[in-house]
Amino acid sequence: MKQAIFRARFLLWGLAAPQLIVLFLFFYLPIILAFCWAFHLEQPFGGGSQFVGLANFRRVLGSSEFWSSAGATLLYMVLASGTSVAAALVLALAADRALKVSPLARNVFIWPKAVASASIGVIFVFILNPFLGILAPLNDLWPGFWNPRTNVLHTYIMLFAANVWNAIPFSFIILLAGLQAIPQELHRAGAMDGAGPWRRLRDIQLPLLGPQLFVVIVLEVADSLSGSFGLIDTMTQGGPGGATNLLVYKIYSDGFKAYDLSGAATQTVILMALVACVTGVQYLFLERKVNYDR
Amino acid sequence: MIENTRSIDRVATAILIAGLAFVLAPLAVVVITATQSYEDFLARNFSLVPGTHFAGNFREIWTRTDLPRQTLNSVIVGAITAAGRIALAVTTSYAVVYFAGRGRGLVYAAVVASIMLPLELMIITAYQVTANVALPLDAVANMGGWWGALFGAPLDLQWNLLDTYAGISVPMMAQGSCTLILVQFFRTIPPQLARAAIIDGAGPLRFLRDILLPLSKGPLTALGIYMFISAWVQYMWPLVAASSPARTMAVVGLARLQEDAERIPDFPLQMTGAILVTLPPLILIALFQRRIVRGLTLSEK
Amino acid sequence: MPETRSNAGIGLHGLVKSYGGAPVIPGLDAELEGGEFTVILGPSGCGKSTLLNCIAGLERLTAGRITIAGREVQEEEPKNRRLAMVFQSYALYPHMTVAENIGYALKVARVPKAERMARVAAAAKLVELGDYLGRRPGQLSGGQRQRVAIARAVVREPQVLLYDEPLSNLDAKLRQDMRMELAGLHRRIGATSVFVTHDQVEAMTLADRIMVLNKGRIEQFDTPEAIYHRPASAFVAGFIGSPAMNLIDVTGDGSHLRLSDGTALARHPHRGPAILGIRPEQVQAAPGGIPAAVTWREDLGAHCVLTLRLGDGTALRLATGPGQAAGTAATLRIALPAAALHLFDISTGRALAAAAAPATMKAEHDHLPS
Repeated sequence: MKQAIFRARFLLWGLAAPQLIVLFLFFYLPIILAFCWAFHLEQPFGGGSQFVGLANFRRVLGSSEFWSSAGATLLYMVLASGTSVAAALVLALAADRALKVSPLARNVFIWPKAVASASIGVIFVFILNPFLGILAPLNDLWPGFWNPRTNVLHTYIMLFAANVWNAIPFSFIILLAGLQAIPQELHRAGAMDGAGPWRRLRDIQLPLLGPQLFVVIVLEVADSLSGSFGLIDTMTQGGPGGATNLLVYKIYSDGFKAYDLSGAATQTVILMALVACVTGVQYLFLERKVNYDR
Repeated sequence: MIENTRSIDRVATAILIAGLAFVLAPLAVVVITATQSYEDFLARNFSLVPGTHFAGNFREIWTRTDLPRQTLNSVIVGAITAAGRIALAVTTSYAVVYFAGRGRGLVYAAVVASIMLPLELMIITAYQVTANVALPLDAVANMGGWWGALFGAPLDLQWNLLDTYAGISVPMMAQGSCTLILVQFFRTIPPQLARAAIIDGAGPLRFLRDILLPLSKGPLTALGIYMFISAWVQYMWPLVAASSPARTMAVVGLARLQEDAERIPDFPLQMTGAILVTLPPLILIALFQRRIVRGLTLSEK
Repeated sequence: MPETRSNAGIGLHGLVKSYGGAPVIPGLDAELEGGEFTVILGPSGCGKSTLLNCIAGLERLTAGRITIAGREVQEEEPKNRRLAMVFQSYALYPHMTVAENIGYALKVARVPKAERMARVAAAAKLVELGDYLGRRPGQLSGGQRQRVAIARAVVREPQVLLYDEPLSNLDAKLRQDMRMELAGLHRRIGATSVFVTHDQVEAMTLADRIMVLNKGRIEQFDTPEAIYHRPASAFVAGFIGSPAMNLIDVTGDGSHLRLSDGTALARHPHRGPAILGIRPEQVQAAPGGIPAAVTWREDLGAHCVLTLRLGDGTALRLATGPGQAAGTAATLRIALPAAALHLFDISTGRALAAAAAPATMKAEHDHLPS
């Protein structure tokens, strides 16, 4: 690269060392440790460990609880990132137009970034409480109209609503910046070529938004998982009947509540592999389509 | 805009207003509920009529819960995390952008890879490392038992960071997005600048201190605020890394307010707590919205 | 002569465009004839691009009417006005190939694929781009992108072609080549063309007629020859020609035009204050003329430009004839031939043609380069 002008090799490593050490300790080492533990039987409280080969994997993969949790995790990753990116995209497309409410919207849509997933969980659990919340009167009229504590569909609607609320800012910022980076002259050229606003959306705006959409989708998949813990811990605790017991939450309860360190580590390995696969698939199928020289 | 698009503009306005309502309504409900007393609430259930009990609720939060202390913890941990992430990102991205050498690509890849797997995914083993940061030293020393053979006993260093500010904040720094953004920013700075500095006799560190850092003040502040907020809203890691209520962060404390499952929760009190926990970062966001957006979108140029 | 000639004239009637109350174009009337190449010339901010966008339909009029081929179009969408446009930044779609860029308008108009490809190929051939159809704009040079932009405009066989400073992003050599190609293209396809620029050379070389625009008003709308030789206002006089025409504040006493210190510059029957205009190449060195100090000397090779200072401090430029040496003298005596004088009203800047018009008209032809 043209900016690479200093040649002091020791300084290069010296400057990078602090971050590399932190990353090694709290990113790479936990990954390595997870793989280690997945092949050992770990006793809690430093009770020693014993190599067991694939026994942990056999145990985890043999449990139906794991499979339903993995399925829920995959479903959540796809739907949570899909709904939040779609919502942010629609809002960004609207805010990109020079409307009277656009400046206000651009400011307010960033606010949820300041609210922790656990906080919005606490808030939504109250607002959507079937007996005390905003929908309680409807439940009085039609008993059972809304009950996220027992109805899995309602639970997921509540989770996705909270997730979308919380995930709007980042995607919105990136997508809106991408839309505004599209030169006005391209819109004009499109209009001169006879393409109306909808046609331009399809043929010009969305293709040119490709790189931003890609970034947002990839990051939102990882973010939806890490944010899911705060939501689930405050809203559903994995219920009803384990329907929202996503792997992130299951690993936490298996490891910290049931002290099954090896089982938790094995599931960690599988979860990381799952996320890596989803990300890899996105790179394979999406990235090639969004590359072009501007 | 270009054509006569009044109908589309009307649809877009409707979408934005719906979005505004969706974002603002929960916040409004929080504020209204926080003004009601527990007795009001039990008597009337959900109501959008503001009460007069906010001061009372706030006094109860302030005197009878750990939230004030935990809010202070959030300020401290947020500041340490933000400062640490910025410092690590500045040095690394400076090295990656401005130094020639075989290592730079490797360094950059190692840092960027960490964006894809958040800390929440590896919580069990990250906890284990934080419980004893000397773990890798022990492991290397005892590999093949050479330490034991030399000194009589296996090396058993212990350095527990759990329940400390460092233990909460340092693992949250192990994430490369800040570096990614800064690398993109440094690449937009004309390389002639560094050449001119060399001609003027400045070494690499002097160039960083006298030219690059002053030049990056705006983006760095924005990024710092953003990182502070990001640390503030963390939930899972502070929850496991700090077990004592006095050490943990405000968001964790807020979620723990509703633990008492025996009676109908004191929602007005919870919502008052939610205001205390949310207001500091919300004020930062509302005030620095423009700068934060500009800082975040640097990488999209 | 054009092989074919569009008969789609453009009429601008009482055209007003303002942004939030501030008028950019306060009211403008003009007729652009079918097949004519009109250049809209003016400094930046004069409203020339706004005017072009109004014709294109990319900006809505505040008031007034626009007709194309006799049809009122001010309420029409751009796509229904049967015109095409070449943009300053080319505005090529970066994610489409050259062929897709050129053919996009046809695709939107649902032209069958076979016909579309034939027309794209023909348009590409017209601008000598045939070998690049599969490339993306990012892989092309500036000049090639410009050709794609032009091909994209002509592929629709528009009655009206609009150009928004299309050459301003090219380097000097390329600009000259493209100028010739554009002139050739116009001769071949004969579409009514409107070309916006701030470059007087482009205006003089390309235009059938030049519309000089200043603060949203037409200063003069005439052939390049008339614009140069008979500027209708001090603004036009100062804007066209390089080096620019000298504009000097004088006062006429009925027989002579005098500087503020009383020096008689030239014979003229005008009475009262006025602006005197004379092109640098028509200022003559004359023994016994007005004394002037030489303050700056530029030798451009083909000719020289001297900056002079007259008695009262007024600066004046003199361009020598081809191959004429500039000399080294510190002072010079000059004369301003009556036939070469232009006189403008001190307050409106409009030409005061009446007084000396016949003489000027006759004398002009002696000075024509041909």
